[in-house]
Amino acid sequence: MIRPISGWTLFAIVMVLAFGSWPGFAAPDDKAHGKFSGEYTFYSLSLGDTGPPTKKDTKVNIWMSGSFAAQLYRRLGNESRGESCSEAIEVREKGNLVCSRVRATGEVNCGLGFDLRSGKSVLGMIC
Amino acid sequence: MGNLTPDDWRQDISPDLSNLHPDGLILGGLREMGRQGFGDGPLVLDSHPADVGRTPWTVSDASAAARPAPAGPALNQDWTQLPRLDAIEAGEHGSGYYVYGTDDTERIGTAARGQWGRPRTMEVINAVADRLATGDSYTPLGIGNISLPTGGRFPPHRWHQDGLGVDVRPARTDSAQLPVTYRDQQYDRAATQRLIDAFHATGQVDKIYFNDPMIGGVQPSKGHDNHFHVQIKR
Repeated sequence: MIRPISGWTLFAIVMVLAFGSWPGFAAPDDKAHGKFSGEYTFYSLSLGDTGPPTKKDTKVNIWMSGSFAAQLYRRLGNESRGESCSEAIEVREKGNLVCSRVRATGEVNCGLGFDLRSGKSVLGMIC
Repeated sequence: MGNLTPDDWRQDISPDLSNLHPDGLILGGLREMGRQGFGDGPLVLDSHPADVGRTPWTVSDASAAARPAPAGPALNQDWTQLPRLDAIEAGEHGSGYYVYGTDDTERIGTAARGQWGRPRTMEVINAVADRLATGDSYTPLGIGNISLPTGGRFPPHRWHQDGLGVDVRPARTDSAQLPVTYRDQQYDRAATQRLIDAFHATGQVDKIYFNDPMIGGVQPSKGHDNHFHVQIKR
């Protein structure tokens, strides 16, 4: 016997289909807490043409990948759409946090940097 | 051609520049690659499955790129590497270009094998170098990151995976082969405009990202104060 879909269930389905990328929206496999994978690099000057870190100028770039990056991308939401540099990727960014998603593979990576002198964030990814 | 190993590309793909006269080394090297007949075949992108929860923090891709890669994604066989021109006084008037961001350190943006690209990309660099070499003014051409030989992610870049994106340094008034932003005193706006114009003159450029509002033929993009990104047409 087929049970009729309740109004709330129908509402939930519609919301998922229509606003699946709402900021704060969590996919079923999203976790509020967990480990993540990534890479880091210390450098000076700025992304794209860097120097070795020095006493006066040390920044760190944190490159995030895996499910954590995918979750960041989802939680940033559609309204954070950023400059993609290429039709092959979609970008979402807020401030200096940048996530890029490869359309063909679905791979997501995110980048965020910090200036260790000032403690302020710096751009995490460039074209 | 079967699957190539890193040693294979060193031996078989990279053009032998050792016998070329220094004056003709840069442009000659590129033309030599053209004679080897690397076709502009279909784009090969390597997927990198998510490595959720398995990989602890590691050093940057720059160090990974410096190591031989015995397994993993194959080299893009229709790609070529921008010739390394360490043995010449690169950047002299008429000598073409110099390279940066290709050392073996772990600094972000540097990758020993970060200057692989599609043949068309190399042709554009060749054409720009030709144009600058015949101009009246000295215009140094500094070529940075292009792509890794296997494509794939290239921190800190959002893309740089298709062998069609090239980072280029703005010109400096002192002609030094050093970083410069468009806000620096050493920035040479006129020479940088010549660089931009030379790329557009090839007819192969889709977009150029650079933040100097006084430069024509570019569009602004975060993080492009100290280099411009040339995206070659597909």
